[in-house]
Amino acid sequence: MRVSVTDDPATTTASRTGGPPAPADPLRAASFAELRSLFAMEPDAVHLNTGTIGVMPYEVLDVNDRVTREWNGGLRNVYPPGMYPEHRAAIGRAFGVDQDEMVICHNATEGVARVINGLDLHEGDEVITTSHECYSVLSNFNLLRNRHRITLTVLTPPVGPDVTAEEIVDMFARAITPRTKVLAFAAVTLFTGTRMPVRQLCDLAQQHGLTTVVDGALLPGLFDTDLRALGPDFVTCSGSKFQCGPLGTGLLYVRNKVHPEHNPLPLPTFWPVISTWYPMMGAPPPRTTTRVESYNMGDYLQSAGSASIARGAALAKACELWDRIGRDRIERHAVALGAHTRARIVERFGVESLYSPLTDDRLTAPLVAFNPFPDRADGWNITKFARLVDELESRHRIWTRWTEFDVAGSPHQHYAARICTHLYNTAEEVDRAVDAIADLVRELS
Amino acid sequence: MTVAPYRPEPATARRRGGVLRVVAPTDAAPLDPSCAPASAAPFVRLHTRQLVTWQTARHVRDWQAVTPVPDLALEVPSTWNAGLGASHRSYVFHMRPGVRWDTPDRRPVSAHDVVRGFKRMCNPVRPSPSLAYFASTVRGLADFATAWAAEATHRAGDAATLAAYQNAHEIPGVFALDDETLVIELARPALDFVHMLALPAASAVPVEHDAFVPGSPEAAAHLRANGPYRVRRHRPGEWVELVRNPAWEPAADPYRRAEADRVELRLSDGAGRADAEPTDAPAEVPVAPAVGGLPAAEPVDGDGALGWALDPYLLLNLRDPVWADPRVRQAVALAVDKAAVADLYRRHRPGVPVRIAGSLIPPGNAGHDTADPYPTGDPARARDLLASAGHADGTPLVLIHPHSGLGPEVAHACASDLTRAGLPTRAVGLADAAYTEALRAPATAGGWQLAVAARVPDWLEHNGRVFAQAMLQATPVPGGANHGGYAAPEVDALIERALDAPEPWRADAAWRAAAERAVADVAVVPILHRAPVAAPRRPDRVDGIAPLPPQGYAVDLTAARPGVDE
Repeated sequence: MRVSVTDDPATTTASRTGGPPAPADPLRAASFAELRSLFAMEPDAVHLNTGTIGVMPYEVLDVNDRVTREWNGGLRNVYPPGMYPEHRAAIGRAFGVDQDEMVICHNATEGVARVINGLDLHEGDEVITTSHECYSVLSNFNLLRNRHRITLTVLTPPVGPDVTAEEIVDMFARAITPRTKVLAFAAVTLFTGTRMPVRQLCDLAQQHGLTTVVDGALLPGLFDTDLRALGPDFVTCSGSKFQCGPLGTGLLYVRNKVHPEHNPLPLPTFWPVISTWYPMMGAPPPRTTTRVESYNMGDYLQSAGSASIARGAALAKACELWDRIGRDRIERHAVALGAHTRARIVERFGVESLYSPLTDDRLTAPLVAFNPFPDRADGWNITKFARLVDELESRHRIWTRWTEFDVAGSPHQHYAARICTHLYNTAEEVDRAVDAIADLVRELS
Repeated sequence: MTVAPYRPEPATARRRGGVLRVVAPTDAAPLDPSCAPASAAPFVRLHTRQLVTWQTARHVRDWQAVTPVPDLALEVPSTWNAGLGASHRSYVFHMRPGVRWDTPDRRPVSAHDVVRGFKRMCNPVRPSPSLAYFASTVRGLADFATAWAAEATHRAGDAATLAAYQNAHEIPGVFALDDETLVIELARPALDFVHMLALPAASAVPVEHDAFVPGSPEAAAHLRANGPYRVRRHRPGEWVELVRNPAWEPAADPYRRAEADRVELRLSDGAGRADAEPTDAPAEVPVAPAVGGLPAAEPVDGDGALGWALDPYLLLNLRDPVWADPRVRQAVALAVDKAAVADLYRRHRPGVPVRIAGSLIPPGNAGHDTADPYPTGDPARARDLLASAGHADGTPLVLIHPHSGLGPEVAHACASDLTRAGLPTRAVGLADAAYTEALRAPATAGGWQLAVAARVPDWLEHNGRVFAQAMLQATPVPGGANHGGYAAPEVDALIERALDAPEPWRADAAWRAAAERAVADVAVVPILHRAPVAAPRRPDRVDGIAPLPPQGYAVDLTAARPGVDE
């Protein structure tokens, strides 16, 4: 099976949230080969690890540098720009939400810590999550377990080429108890690159009156996403992975109004820990039950002392570039490359090598995790995967990573090689990586 | 997270070298790590190494002193260093380079040697006293041990047969990926698992040991070392002489020193007795006996110290029909005058805090409770209970005790109390090694109904199991400290609940409940909780005395500096 990956010409479909791009914008019409030149990439390197860190465009680097210099040693008031009102509004529009629901934070971990520790949970309340979450999610829920004596139920989701969205939803549904208060899951899992069925899981949560916390670290910059339409209460995002902003940037969506068509539940009680402008006496007004906010929760969360104005501006620039290129185009390109990657892996290493989904299109993402070694027992041999990734980097200048995760029913910790594709990657790069992996596997087996 | 190695600053300009003389109870120095108890760890550490170990404490409140540090392993596995999965069930250890066996070829210590050590602790001839910890934690280890024990019932117990079985079978959850990488998989997450790896049972074992039955005199005579010392000669029960191991490289051992040229262990049943205190041996270091701890010792940090001991307690041999009626057992619990024993301790161990114990788990340990179901010293009520049970004076009960420490004093006090309450009791003193054997194999060591015992925790964090599991669990694998043969399904279920709990507070609640139930059943009679003590610093005799808190605050013998004649 071979998937054709070609440059996606300018589409007539307008980006969903940004409105129709200006017809004259050359980025909308640029080929992906041309777009690649926007990025500060090493020319002889193949970057297939955007799930860990993306490559910043030159313009983003410039903004970061320029704004840093502009604010260095000046006497202007640094606090108002640190609230990022315009940037949050613009970024919010790109993700289908309002300024009062969008926060620029320091990274996904900070965002998730602020969300989890702001939940109104008490002893005996149950949170259901998975063993495939980022450590930041699991460690913060464990903190709540120690602090408030909540019950943390950790499920291990099914993996492999034949996994379906229904299986995943059913796994959560069977785990819900009368004490369950929160469902927490990744939008895209970092270990196996499974695009979780977020909308279906939010539907399930809403049926049971549950709060949803979505780790969307891999979402922005990759998928053209309407956060509100997905139906969650909270989504925490990285700014430096697929969105290609500076390290130390993130986005945080907090549902702050009720749109019944997306999530009819009342807004959950939420405590915006780390806040300068949360009232110093008294309390905010009751949370709204309508489409109009009763206060700006985003401001409470955004106000956290002095901010990195330059990094926020640089992230905003990255988001602006994505809007100009077209988030829908970027998604299509990355997803097509992901399909190409899966096809090449299946062709070279067999379908059973895949830990990532294959047959259910709803679950596939351009992060592909697989065990290329013919001996299945190598799937729990960390040394082989570490060596494979090291050799790819040192000999071939191909940057990937290995991941580790539980597999339901297996007593072992499993390891996988992971390839991520993004707008600056090409099918030729993927082919080169897969060929190099095949050679190394022969050597290491 | 990496803990910086602790190198104590020399207090004096005393040179390295000399002979370090150590006086210890006769049961204190089993040399074969595969069957050595946790209490022997300070000795075993002289010639063996484990995946992790401990460092001495500048201050006993220093958290670094109760946290395992890497020994044979390069790092303690963590999620941060990719050695520990999110589910906390899979540990990856990378072996430290430069660690070698004291063999003619100076072979590197490999991951396979650690696998061999895990298997050997399960041997059916002399299984490790710590086996129950590992059997309930490591995936497949319990089945491995029980299958080997079953096989051994119809096979010879010679070294070749044992080695053949060991080398033909695997523990599914313990395997080497290569010489340098070891994986240990757990049946369930265990917050104390890394602490367990510092026990003697988890030592690496070279292939040369396959030629000898574990724990046999032949094994002890042919040990291969990877620690700073090797055994040059020994006479079981009397003395052991260790000399420098030429294969040991200080650069590959961040947490041991080798100050003395030679270490001599003098084994004596008089150890820990005030009347046997060495006065003319300036280079001697005392080792605590089981009961009573060290004489002339310094209390560690008072009430807030970690790792108080259950010292002493009475152990009931529940296999004996005399204990079938619970009222008879309850009479024992009521008869013992714990306050009198406390006075006895205060006389012989001045300055060492003790508390009358109503619960199994002492302060400073996970699962401690202050409950006390039986008021102390109520012989009248004890007599009433015996009468209601129809218990008649008959053959006196045998109360065994070790000769060392305060064993005799406690035994005689308890025997008097029990006799006064209507349970005629005879205290029988045993040499320490014989006493240990009597506890380990009560069916073969002559009849005893009661024993004076003490228990010091085997590690200090998340350690509820060192009391409740070790002393109470009716486990199918041998070892442990359930010497009385206590078996209560409800308690076993609570122990399982504690072992299953990912939350420390939930585990502690289950440990507490298990301990309370067992004390109510009078599986044991807690008498005192004793504060931990450390050997006093005596630079005029031996310099560099520093305690290893998780090993009962024992002296780090590798760091002690005896006087060296100029």
